[in-house]
Amino acid sequence: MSHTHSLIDDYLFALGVPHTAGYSEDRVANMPFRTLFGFSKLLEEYGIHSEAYNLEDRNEITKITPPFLANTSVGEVIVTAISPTQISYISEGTPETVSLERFMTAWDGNVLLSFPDSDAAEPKYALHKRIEFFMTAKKWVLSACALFLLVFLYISSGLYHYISATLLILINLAGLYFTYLLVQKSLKIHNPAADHVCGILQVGGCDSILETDASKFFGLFGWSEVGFAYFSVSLITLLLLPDMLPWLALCNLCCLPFSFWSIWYQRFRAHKWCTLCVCVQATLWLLFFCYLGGGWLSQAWPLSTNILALGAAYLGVMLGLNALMPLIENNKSTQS
Amino acid sequence: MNTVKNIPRPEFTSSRRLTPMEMNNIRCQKRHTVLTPEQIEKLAPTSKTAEP
Repeated sequence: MSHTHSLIDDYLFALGVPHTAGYSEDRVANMPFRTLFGFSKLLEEYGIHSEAYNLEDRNEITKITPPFLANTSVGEVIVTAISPTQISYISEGTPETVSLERFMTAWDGNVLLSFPDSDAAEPKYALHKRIEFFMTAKKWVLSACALFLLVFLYISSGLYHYISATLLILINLAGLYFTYLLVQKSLKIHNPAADHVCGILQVGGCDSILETDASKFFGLFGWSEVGFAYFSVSLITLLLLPDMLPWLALCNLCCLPFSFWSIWYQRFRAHKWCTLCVCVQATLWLLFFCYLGGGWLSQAWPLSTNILALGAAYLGVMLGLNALMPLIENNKSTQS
Repeated sequence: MNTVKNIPRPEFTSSRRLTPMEMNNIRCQKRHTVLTPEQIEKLAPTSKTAEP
């Protein structure tokens, strides 16, 4: 089974044809006419000859050696195994097995058979594979750099002397993760981790809440963006400027009324629970208790101009993110 | 990556090869078709009643 949910990627994988998911999916995305004929022409580029048949005697399907494409009333499926009684196919990346009799009710009798040459492969496969490797390596290097900087700043700033500061870093990281998942959800980017967390309190609850008008601050900024800006600025400030801790505590205090409104809205107005939103509210309160327990809140007075700089940082990141969101959305819709 | 599969050509007795025009009438999706066994179960009675 393949790791993605793309038809061409899984089909080429089943045929054993060397390919890269990125190039193949891009070629399908740029097909002028996404039809079975266009698909067979695309396969020719890989050295795969394809023929489509209508089987008048449907029982002849058992004569075909898988993999092949079968056209059903809802679209094409990749048949991976067949016997006189059962058929196995891939449905959205998941292998399914049903009785052949049942499958016949959904199948319209049309199939696409593919015969790859012995040297069939994606055009410029070696180059594409190398690019794919570097793209994957880029993500790992980025993660390693971020982790290194986090540990380095944590030690160099001396925050490890304070249990409360250590907890604040961990809780901010958790908040950043929750809001990152919420931003992805608001951009309709599928993430199994987000769906898993969202399903804890109510399946589909996160999506329902994010569709409401209340999910936007003044109808302009998504609360997910506000949250992401809040946790990212808090974390970076904490690591780079630990002297700002008292004002970070004050900003956290100002955010707490929002948590009451959010819970009230979900409980009494929307009648739906967004698990990720509830996690963010819980994170805000955990931060508050850490600031309080560490004695940082009491040091916030008298107020200083530092809080203005902190406010500008929150606002700047939030506006920057808000400006980026339409660009990401445009890019996503172009790709799909 | 596994090796390229050698697919033998089947010998049909009652099948018709589709023309490019007919193939163009069958739409292909970028993503997978979702066809769960539950969906097939739902399709089954409808198809059976449609038969003469």
